[in-house]
Amino acid sequence: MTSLYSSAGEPADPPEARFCPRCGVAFAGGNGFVQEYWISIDTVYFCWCSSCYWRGEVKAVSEVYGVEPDENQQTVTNISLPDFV
Amino acid sequence: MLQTEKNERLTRVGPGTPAGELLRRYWYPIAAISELDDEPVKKVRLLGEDLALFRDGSGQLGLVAELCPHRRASLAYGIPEPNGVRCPYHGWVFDNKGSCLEQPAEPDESTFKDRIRTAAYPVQELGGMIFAYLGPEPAPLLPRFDLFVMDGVLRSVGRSEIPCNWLQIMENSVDATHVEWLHGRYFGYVLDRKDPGASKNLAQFAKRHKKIGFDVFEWGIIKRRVLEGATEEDDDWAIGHPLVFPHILRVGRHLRPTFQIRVPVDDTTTMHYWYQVYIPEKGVQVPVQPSVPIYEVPFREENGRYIVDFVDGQDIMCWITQGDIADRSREHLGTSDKGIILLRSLLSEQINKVERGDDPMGVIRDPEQNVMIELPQERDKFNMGENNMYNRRLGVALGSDRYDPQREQILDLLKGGKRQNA
Repeated sequence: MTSLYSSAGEPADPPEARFCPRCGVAFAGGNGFVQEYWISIDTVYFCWCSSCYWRGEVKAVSEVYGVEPDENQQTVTNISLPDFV
Repeated sequence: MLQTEKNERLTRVGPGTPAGELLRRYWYPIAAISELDDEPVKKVRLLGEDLALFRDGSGQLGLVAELCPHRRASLAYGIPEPNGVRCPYHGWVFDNKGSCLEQPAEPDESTFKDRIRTAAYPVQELGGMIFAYLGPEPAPLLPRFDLFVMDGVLRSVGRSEIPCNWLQIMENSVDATHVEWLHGRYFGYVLDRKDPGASKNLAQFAKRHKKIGFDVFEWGIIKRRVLEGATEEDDDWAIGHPLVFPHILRVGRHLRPTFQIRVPVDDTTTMHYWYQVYIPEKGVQVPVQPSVPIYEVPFREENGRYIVDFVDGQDIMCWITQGDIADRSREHLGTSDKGIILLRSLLSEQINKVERGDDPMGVIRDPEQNVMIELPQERDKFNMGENNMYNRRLGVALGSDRYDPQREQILDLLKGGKRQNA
């Protein structure tokens, strides 16, 4: 699970949703709105794009679970991902 | 967490700032009409601008820049004249359009005054209050919301100057779950420390939220809740009550509805008005009101601590302790904060509309839409029954109206008052 704080106790600089998932415009400056919040262990970004008016949420994925492999299959079942959006 | 850059964009109210330009598209109360009866010229600060409000000798209202363009003395100490206000320093006179009418120390034939202007803004009276508009012309209509225009009611206005930014106050209005903790658990703790067992009257505030919901509608955001023991059929969910975008909360009970109007004075000051309306039952005589009175609502004890044994005082304590301008880059929102996220998003969208040259939501230009704007509000709040004790009596004791000099008259009216044919 990603820590919400740095070792100094200051808010961590979390991964950001920097670009609109629909039109690709950067959310910097006056373009759009990005609000980070948390649902249990998940970090979620509520986004509104002032360019294409898309409104939606982006969720940072920390783990992906797969099905139990058959005995003879060489399948990765649990992938730990770095923090990114 | 909200980036500092976005926080600045949503909170700053001065001229030329993104939110400041949006906020200038709306009308704000700046005084009660009754205040000018006592003092016809009054200093006002609104959206970071210092202004002088006056009623001249012909009864016209005016709102001009506070400092005289001559030597920069304050027109808030001016003299009302038949067609304007006269500067106390050298006697220059300005009308309510900002024109300079007189410069008594200049030669009679001088045209200097014709080349001098000061900033002037439209003002209008409604519901016992004086409203100002600081935005671009043409000014939109002053919204005739129901509480300002309904007949047969008693009105009263409380006021506090709150030393913090306007947005954290507005966010409180879409923060549904704070009620059960701040006004339920914490209020109970405060009361029981003074008088053990006194918290028994707070059961309605302490009910757990089973569900919260927020809908954008024509005038802002409707807040809904389902409390423990209630269903979606009950008023708290089926009707709810609105945040009237961008600066008003409609709240209260059906006998005592209220507008909580948050007027951005500057970046770190908000004038909070409790515009209280008391609605008598059918057949009950309403006392004659020559004007709507205004009173101050205190929020600090003599020792500097906040007064937290009434509902509004608890809110004020939280707003101010969040900081001059809440640092949203250090907060941690959860799913119960969805209303706050929605408000910030809506604010961003409306700022963007203004930047594109459009009117933001809630701006009215059609008089037919402005005869009387009725807003939704629960009749049975917190599922307690319409005629519970809170409606009749306790609400006045636990809210800002406990400081109202008309309190006894209000309680009498809510208890049934004088019958018209008695």
